[in-house]
Amino acid sequence: MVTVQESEYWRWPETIWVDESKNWQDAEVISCGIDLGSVSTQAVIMADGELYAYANIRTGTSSTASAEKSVNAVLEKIGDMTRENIHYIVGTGYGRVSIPFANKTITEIACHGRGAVYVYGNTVRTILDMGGQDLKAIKVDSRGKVINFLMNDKCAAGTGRGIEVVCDMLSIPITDVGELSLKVDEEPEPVSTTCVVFAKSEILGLIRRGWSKEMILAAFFNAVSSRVVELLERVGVEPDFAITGGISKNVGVVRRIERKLNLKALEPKVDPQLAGAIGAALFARALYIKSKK
Amino acid sequence: MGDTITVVLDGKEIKVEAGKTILEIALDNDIYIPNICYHPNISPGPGKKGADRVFRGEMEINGEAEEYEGCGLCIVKINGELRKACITLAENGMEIIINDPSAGEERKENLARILSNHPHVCITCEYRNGCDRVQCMFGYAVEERCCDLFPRCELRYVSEYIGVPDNTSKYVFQNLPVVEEKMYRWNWNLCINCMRCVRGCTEVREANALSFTVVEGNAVAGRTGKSDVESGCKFCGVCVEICPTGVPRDLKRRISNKWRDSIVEKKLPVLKEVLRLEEEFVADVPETAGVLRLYDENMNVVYIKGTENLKEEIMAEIGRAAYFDYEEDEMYTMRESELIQEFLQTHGRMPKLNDEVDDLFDI
Repeated sequence: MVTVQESEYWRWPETIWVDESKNWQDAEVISCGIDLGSVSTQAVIMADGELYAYANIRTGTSSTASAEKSVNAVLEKIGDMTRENIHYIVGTGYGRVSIPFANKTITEIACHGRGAVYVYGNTVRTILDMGGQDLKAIKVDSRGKVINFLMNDKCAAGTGRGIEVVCDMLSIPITDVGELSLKVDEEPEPVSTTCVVFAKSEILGLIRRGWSKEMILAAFFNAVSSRVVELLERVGVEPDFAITGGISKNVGVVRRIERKLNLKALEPKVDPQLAGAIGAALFARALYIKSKK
Repeated sequence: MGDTITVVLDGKEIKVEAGKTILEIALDNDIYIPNICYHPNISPGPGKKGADRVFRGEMEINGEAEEYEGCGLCIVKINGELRKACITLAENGMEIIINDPSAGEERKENLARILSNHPHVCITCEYRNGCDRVQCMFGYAVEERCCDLFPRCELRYVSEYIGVPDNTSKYVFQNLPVVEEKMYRWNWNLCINCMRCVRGCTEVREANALSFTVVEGNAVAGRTGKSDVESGCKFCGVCVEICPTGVPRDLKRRISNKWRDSIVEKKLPVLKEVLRLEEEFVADVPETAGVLRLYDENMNVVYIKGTENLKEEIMAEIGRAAYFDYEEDEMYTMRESELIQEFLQTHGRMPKLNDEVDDLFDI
């Protein structure tokens, strides 16, 4: 009998969290932001503009169902909160229109800027959002208002999905690849392309040539970081600098970007993958207060 | 006051002051005639006389001190004859047809010639709007792609307006000199030899640091000496302001001065038909997903928004702007980001009404 072993090394852990030191019933405004991305969906609940609870889950085949799932997950974790207790919901991300219960939708660019200031503090001026299927370089003012941005949404090269594919090829969990890639004595030449399709065949070649997994990851992340540094230089990097999105948790990519920019990225106060949803929740709070005036 | 004469422009009678060219009259009346070597700050290009040699850095280019012919994009039919609108003075009773088929053909031919010597793959790329232009998904080499001025490149707007001719030959990178001077970097690979910098240099600043020579029938622009100083450059920066592509660029920051600031922004073609933001026009908008844009009276974009229902959304916007246009697009959230990105890069700020979330920051 043949047994097929299913390996899903790309699977990053879903997280659901609630601040148990607080009681949401004390808050005047409960706002919710949902960032429906191509790879992950975040639902954030804020109590009077402070992060109270969140769910960070994988986006499924149905955007609407993923939005539902994320909100239900966070409400379940809180326990005694229902949909009716939320005063205002703002949707963002590429799938933002598939959130039927959102009161309003705001572009992910605006939400990421606003959210990044919450996650990193108001000294942040340049934000690199490394998402599932696109990369955005965003420049903001001290309030998180977008001054300029540059993105590539036509090509998934060097994005989260690309890294997921490489994890599967090398059979290494996605949470470990960053650390592993730093365990090389000497930085190898970058792979010649970050294109998901071409990198795949190039990496296969490296495996055949007997390269270690660490070296392959280093070569791949070297290429990914070069690509984003080019993007950043196009908008102009102004300190402080911060990275949001899923890849910001990959130290292998982050350290290499820092090295190339000769600039340290800010340390996040909360999970930087939440930036978009936090921005949306902050806008939701403001919109609610404005509507009451 | 000059005499008033009457010309017929595309069937419309227009009263104009005598002494102006057809191109000037058309632009004054908000009628667009394609052009690239024309610039309102300088005299028309055709007929200007060159020198017998110019320099691009150390490279010396020897040719004939002949005349520049012009870009040939402003060709129109005047009294049944094809002529350049930029050097034809209006005469009483002249009949001008801008989009005459034979004029259009000639225009296309001339554009094809210009583009075959200038990187242009990005202009024809389907994905030009959503691209950061750092990495090319079609694998075109950097040298074949458009430069970083793409979002506000005049040549691109004119090309999109005329339409890139099918017979445009592929651009082949020639590895022309890239000259670093004290103040400017000259990437001669981007030069379309429109001689705007030459005329800016000689007419605006009267420095004569730039000229052109004619090599085998083709005019080639360059410096009049081997270096900035040797050519008599006065470092005014007019060349940087007036170039329609991106040949001379500031090496450091832009230094403001009266010559430079006198260079006006050219009127670029409006690439899309816009409609008045009134109920009768909105009534014909389909109820599909897409992206809408609102314009003010001066045709500036003031709002970009993606929506599931174009008609409903635009109806709700009546009164907020003067004109609108829209694109149907299933992936409208993406398209919206693309258009905002393009706007930001062209204007350095968000569209005015997109800033409406502004007041939400301080709550």
